[in-house]
Parts: sequence; C-alpha cells; structure tokens
Amino acid sequence: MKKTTAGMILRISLFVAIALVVYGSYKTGEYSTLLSERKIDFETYQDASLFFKRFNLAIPSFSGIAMLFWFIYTKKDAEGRINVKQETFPEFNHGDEREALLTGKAAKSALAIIIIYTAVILFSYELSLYSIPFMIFATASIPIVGLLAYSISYRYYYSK
Amino acid sequence: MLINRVKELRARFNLTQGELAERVGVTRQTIVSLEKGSYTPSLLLAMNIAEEFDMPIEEIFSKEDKL
Repeated sequence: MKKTTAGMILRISLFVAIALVVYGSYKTGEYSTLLSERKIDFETYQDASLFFKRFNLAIPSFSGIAMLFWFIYTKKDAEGRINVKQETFPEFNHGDEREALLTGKAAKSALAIIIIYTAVILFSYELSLYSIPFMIFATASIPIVGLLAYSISYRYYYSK
Repeated sequence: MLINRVKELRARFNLTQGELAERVGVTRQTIVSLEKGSYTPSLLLAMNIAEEFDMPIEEIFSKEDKL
C-alpha cells in the first residue's frame, strides 16, 4: 500500500506541476501584453516574468525525476522486457489475479467519477466567467480527482 | 457463495499464508481474502491450490448450499 500511495502522490504532483507551468506561461503572456500596452514598466514585467519562469523548470523537473525514480523499480519480465502495464502501475502485482480484479473494479469507479466530475467542471467554466487561471487548474483537477477516486476505491476493495 | 477448507489444510500442511501464496503464485492478501471467504478464486488458482494440497478440487472448494 505504501507503493500505491507513493505512486498516487507522484502522479498527482505531475498534474499539479503541468498546471503550474501552463499557469506560469499564461501569466508571463499577460504581463507581456501589459508591457506592450505600456500599462506596466519593464522592471515589473521582468520581475514577474522571472518569477513565473521558475514554474517552467523546477516543478516538472522534480516530478520528472520522481517518476523516473519510480519506473526504475519496475521489474522486467522473464524475457527482459519492461511490461507497459507494470510501467504504468508498478505498485500493483500484475501476476496476482485478485489485484487484477480489484484494479478493474477501481478503474470502473474512477471512470464513473471522472465522467460526472468533468460535467461539473465544464459547467463551472461558465460560473467562473471563463477565468483562464480557474480553467487551467480546474482542468488539471480532472485527472487528479480520477486518480484519487481510483486510489480510494482500490483501498476499499483491497481491504475487503 | 463458495466455501473452502484452505485455512484448515494450510494448517495441516504447516504452511504460512505467505508460503502458500508464493507456491500458488498470488499475494498473501489474496490467501487472506480467500480464507475469509470474501474472494472467489479463479479456476486456475483453485486448481493450483488443490495441486499444492494433493487433493481433488471438490474436496477443498464447495458451494455453500451443499452443506
């Protein structure tokens, strides 16, 4: 279960990182527009730009290394090939029939929740008046909610 | 509902859950669930268990309404 939790945290951190990069890119563009319209001075633009550019490298690098570190623990099969399933979900024992069954059940639950949650998020765009930062993070929250739903359902079925 | 004598036979053969799990190629948690009766094994797993205990499958697994 420790592996499952670690795997989920790593995947969620990757989606958060992607959202932050996109948000940073959006904000840099926004400051660039403000500068070209002469609404801010160059120093303000430079400070903001440097701040948001940090998002571009630090967080995805961290997540990338973390994911790479995780995949190193993925076992190769008897013929020396890396199994794609094992690479995607290295924390589960793919040779165990019960775990395969639980994975299927948990995936079904996660899919149902993602479908409902996506509809809610699409309606929330309207309520947020199409605020771009909101839309970026709301969109990134869809796979995060899916992963959490998957993890919770898996734990529930596993403990039964 | 399928009931089984895995717990009893495992004790008779002096095997731990982990040892039996390793021999039949599943995780210990699967054996735990099997013994609790909350998991119905596949035919292959049932056959592997029967082979391990050197007994016919029907002597280990049976439907609850038969008893």
